[in-house]
Amino acid sequence: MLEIRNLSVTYPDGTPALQNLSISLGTREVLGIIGESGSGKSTLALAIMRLLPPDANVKGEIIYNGKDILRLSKSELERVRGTEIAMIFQDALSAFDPLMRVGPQIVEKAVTNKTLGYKEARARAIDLMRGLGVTNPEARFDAYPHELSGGLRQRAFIAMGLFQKPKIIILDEPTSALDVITQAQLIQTIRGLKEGGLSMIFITHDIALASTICDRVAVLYAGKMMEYGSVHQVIHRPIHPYTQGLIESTPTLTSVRRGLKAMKGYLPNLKSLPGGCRFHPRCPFATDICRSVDPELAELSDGRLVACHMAADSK
Amino acid sequence: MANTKLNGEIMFGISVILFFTITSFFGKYFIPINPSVQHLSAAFQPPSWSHPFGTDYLGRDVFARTLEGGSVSIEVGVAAGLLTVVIGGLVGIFSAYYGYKVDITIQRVVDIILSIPLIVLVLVLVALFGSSIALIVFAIGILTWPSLARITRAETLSLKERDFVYAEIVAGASGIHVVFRHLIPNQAKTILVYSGLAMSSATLIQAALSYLGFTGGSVSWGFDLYMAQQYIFNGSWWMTFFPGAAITLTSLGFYMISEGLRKMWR
Repeated sequence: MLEIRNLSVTYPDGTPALQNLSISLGTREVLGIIGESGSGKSTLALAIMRLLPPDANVKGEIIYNGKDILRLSKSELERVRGTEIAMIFQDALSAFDPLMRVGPQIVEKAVTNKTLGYKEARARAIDLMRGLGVTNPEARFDAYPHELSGGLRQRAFIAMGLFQKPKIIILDEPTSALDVITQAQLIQTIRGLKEGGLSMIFITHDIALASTICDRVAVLYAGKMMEYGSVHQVIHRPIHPYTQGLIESTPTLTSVRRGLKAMKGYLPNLKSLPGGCRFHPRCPFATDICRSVDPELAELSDGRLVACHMAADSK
Repeated sequence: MANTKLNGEIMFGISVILFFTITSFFGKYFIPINPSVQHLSAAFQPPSWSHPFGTDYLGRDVFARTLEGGSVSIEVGVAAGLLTVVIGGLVGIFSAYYGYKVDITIQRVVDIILSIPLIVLVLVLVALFGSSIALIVFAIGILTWPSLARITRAETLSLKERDFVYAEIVAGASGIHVVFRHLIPNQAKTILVYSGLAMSSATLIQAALSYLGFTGGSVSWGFDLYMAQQYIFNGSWWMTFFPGAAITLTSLGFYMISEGLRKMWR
């Protein structure tokens, strides 16, 4: 459905936020993008929505419906946004204009474009909110954003994203601002959307969360894809040392008792990446070749892609 | 939400402006004295029952002239203030919202206009194109917008990074829609507070222009002040006092509305 080819993004200050990323999203698929803060996962979402600052250097192609999103005209872009590809981000409170009631903001775009009258739009928005688990949606429709709880706000925000029936929805850490219970409920809702036939890109730093809803997962590190494969491959049998480290540092009931294993070191400064493999200063298995040659993404026998010298050897 | 109780400043400002609006536009129907008729034999009369504000050096009634002179002050103050706010508000918001080259170009224009002494530029425009009220309004409007443009630009720069603006763009909204539906309502208070200031200073600029002779063709406080200043020292205080007090009060009235709004929304 959506195919990203050789996407590189460099910010005007010279920061290479994404390097040579190729990834694709199938119909009715949920693609997880996992990485630490600063790994480039949000940059990817912004690039797909064409929200990067105009002076950022963007190379590559993002093909949707046979057309390159990066080369769409302004009016074509306005048509694609919202009706074809929608995006939900982390903080639903700031996603609503504080001066307007929630409902009118959900239906705003469709009503200004005269695709729907206000009454039909209101009825549809209320149905949609009810379907997303908003209790008493008629009252919420006329409420101001600050009058809703965090979970309700996030659901209302998802309703806003879904209102124009997009084919793809990008979820940029949609549950990070919520408590665990609300988070679990929202994940149920998102699973329901997947059953409903929506394709999704799910951006998160929470590997456990990704494993519960994604079909395929890409792990980003410092702007580069490190491992890419099915959830089963990447999360249950990780090969790249970075993915392994991420999973080992995720608390589970048993690991807490054993003591968490933290990954040593920090994400490198993107402007002065270490030579060779960008992960080698933190990698427990680093050898001489890792310090001098940047590994290519290579396909393993089980079909996954891994950028690691050690993985290629064990093939 | 903000306190919406009208405070003393607003009440004062509104009363003063309403008072001058009513007296200057409708006063002539109740005070049947022609402000331009001369009675040389009755010149330099101090305030009395027949001439409450006295008479000037040509024997004209200062009370009638003070009533009549207010209309041009209020017309120019309101019209030029509004023009300034519309131009300045929109230019600042679009400048910040579109950013980059648009912003840089507009901000350099702003710098240039701000660097030229305002009254000199208005004088040049009025001297070149005549001094009709419309032209005075236009001249003040196109020369005083930059200060507001800077304010709305700064506010928009911060507003446009808020998630709800991104949420709108992601939903496919056009730039015009974002500006008029979200960016303007979210800084309406700033713009309203500034519009009181703009009207206050437009009133003063109009007074200064008519003091220099560009009256817009009608009786005006500023021009009366100019004509009366040479008689201050022979004791005819009423000729300068009443038009001067009227200018001060009108300007203060607009200013107090602005100040009151600011306090109310603080």
